[in-house]
Amino acid sequence: MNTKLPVEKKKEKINKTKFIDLAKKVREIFEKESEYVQKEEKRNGISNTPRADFLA
Amino acid sequence: MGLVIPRELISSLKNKHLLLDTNIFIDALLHPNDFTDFFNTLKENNIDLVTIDLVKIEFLRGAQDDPTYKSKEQYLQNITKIILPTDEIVIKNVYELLRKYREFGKTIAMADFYLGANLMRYKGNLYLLTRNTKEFPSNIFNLKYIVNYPLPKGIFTYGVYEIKS
Repeated sequence: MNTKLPVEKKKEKINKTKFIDLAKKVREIFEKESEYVQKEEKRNGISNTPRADFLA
Repeated sequence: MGLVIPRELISSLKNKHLLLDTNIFIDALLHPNDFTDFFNTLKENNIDLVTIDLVKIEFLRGAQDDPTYKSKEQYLQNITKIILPTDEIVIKNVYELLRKYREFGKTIAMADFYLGANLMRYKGNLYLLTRNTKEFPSNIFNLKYIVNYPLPKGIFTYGVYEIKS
């Protein structure tokens, strides 16, 4: 049984400025998706997969 | 203040892998400044950050168009580029976990079984980081470390788990 895990050879540090900008953008995407989920739940009942819901 | 990392966590996870649950990617969205420091500290100490397809799928789903999908994917890849393969041993481990969880398994999300199955697959080299501390019971998993994250209102608590012998 191969139990060797893949390794990131060159461990690049995260660029904080870029990451914060990107996180802000993705956070807005998640907020919009949450609004959609809430609307859908009002219309069709509660989703059975709320694990990754931004507002959960 | 940032995330409070136990000193022993760094030394014992050196050259090992830390498996990230979906809630880690979500929390890093909310607090990117502190999480950048946290991730970079782990990387500097040769701890590989990894995840699995089910977590990636949970994170990416619901993107309304290609640009939003790509932004989400790019964000995730900033944290980790390593997605552990789901092979037949992992699948076999999922079935073994179903038996071990017994009736409690009814309330467990599919991704959690796969996270646990990967811990079994790479026992001794892979640890799980999650805020979802209810789904990894002590009869199956060892809670190895606790990472606290004090916030202006309340404290987020993360568990670092390994599979039990």
